[in-house]
Amino acid sequence: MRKIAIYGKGGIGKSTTTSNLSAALSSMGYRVMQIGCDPKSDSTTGLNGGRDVPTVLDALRNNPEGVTLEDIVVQGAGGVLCVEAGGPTPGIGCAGRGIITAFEKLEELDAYEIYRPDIVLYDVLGDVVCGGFAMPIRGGYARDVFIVTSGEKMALFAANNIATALSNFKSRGYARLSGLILNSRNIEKEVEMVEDLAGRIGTSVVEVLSRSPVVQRAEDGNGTVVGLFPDSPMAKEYVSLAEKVLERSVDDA
Amino acid sequence: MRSCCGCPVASGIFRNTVRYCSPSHGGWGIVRTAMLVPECHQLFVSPFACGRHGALGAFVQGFKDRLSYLYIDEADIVSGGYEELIPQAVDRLLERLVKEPRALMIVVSCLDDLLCTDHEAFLAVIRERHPGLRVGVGHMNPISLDGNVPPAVNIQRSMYGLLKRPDEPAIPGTAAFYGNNVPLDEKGEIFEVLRTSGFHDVRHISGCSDFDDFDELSRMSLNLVPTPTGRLAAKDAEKALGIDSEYVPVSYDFDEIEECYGRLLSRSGRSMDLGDYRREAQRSLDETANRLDGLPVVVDASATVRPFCLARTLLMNGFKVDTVYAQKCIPLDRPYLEWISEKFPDTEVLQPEHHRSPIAREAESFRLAVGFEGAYLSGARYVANVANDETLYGYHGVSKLAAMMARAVERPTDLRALLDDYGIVV
Repeated sequence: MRKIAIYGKGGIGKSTTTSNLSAALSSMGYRVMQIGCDPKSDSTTGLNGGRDVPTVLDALRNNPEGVTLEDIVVQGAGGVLCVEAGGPTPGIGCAGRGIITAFEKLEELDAYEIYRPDIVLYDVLGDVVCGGFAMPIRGGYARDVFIVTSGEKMALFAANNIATALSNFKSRGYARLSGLILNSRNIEKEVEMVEDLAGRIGTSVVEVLSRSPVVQRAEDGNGTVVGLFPDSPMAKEYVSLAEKVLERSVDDA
Repeated sequence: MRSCCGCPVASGIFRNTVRYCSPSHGGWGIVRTAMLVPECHQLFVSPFACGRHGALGAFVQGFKDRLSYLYIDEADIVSGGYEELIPQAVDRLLERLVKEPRALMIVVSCLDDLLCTDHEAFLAVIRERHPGLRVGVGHMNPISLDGNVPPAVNIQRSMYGLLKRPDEPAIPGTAAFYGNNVPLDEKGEIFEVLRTSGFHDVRHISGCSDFDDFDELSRMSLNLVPTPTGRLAAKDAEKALGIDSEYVPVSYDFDEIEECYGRLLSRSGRSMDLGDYRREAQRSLDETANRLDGLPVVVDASATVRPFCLARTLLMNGFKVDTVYAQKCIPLDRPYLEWISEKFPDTEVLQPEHHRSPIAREAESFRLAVGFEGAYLSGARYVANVANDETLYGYHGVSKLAAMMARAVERPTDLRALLDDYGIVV
């Protein structure tokens, strides 16, 4: 089983990239589980026709003792197993703790043993700000981390922070940084800037994803580029990304 | 069946309300349970208020010299820096202890559940600095009480998690009990069943005189689990130590007891006539029922993990069980609860921690209580000195319990003395 976390600054396109990656990997014959770790719970909507997936935390709120896997794992487009950790009521509670609770519930219900996915993708909000947001890169969870970034300063700053956290945790046997995914915003010297950061943090750029209107069209159509426009150049970029992610990630099976 | 909420069984007797904690509430607690590991020192890591109960308990129960505290403050918590404080505290602690412990249990509070502390990270540092020390993490986290791994279950995992996979093979004919903090009465027929099944050396953690003795539990051929509390620890041991386990839950139902022994005996393909034990248990029940002569009985979950199973057996044998105190019903006990609700609808089921408990409490009543908390809440004049099924198991357990009930009605009970004697600290 490959366990991969996708990190990056909020709004950089992690969920779009992850969903397309899931769709691409699924089209290659892999059984994929995508776990959204964002309180907004919108990681997998593109794989579910725009519909919200019931979150683990909502299921726990509604039925604290009787949550089953059927309540929280939804099969989306291409058979991708979709899970949303969910979050607290905005303004109260603790989002990091929410991720921990959701992960514990998935383990308790033997989700990985029962569904036996070939690849688990954790789509994680923003920076590694606390223990909860570090959970996906802890031992037993993701082995490889890919960071989505553009050439914008804040995106690069966040990517650098995430890389620093991974470096700090190196001795703990946490996940390793396996590359940057450049989600282009078409700013000047974007590739050079991202490659420069990659060099400084000891990694490389895995794939440069073009800024394409087809991505927005797919979102408007409540689907993924790979699902709705499989012959588009953008879909081919996602498939290429999927191949490289497979090359760079560890299969712990 | 009536309940504290006035609701039928189907819609749920058991409600989550503001919790009441009676002066008779409590039991072993995390600190006391983990002290069963010989030559093990505990380092409790928490804000100071979280340590109060354990500290008082350790004082009362005589473990004060085996318990130390690392108090952490807000700055340590929000910065995440307190993970670094723990190895430092361990260094200082080991320097100061007169007798170096063989094992160290670092007990953390609910805070760690909220912070998602990576225990393995600081354990690795401590193990590197103190290679001869066996070290583990325990959780005193009531935040998990309603979950699937409550503190009483988790601490068993932590205790037996100190065992390492041995280099030597399993010792033939050996078995150990997991989960029951007090050993079963050796007069019980279970030991004969085990001998018949080929287990001549049956151990319990309380019988381990030192850490080496405890360590030998890693070489048992079988682990026996008489209480749900030990199930996950035994499952961990299956994976980590390769020790097979058998779940033999304590029961007061003759058929269930027979079935349990049948499973044990089937491991060796042998059989055994248990008729005499069964008849003796029946005789004891009959004798005590006659002795009580219709005296109302209160059954409380502090006496047994199977209060509904016990209540059913008593009801079937002529006892007048008018109340069962239980905060919840474990799945194993559910059929017995349903049986009682159908056959004895006037038997009340009350939650001892329900917020109405102190209002509903009776100061005094002419009843016999089996269990401390039920005794306090019902004001029962007589109390059978039973807690957590301790020493009770099988037909012998039924006989022994019946005898304890008969003895209890000889004179009014001083409940406070019983609680003090048991070491309950609120």
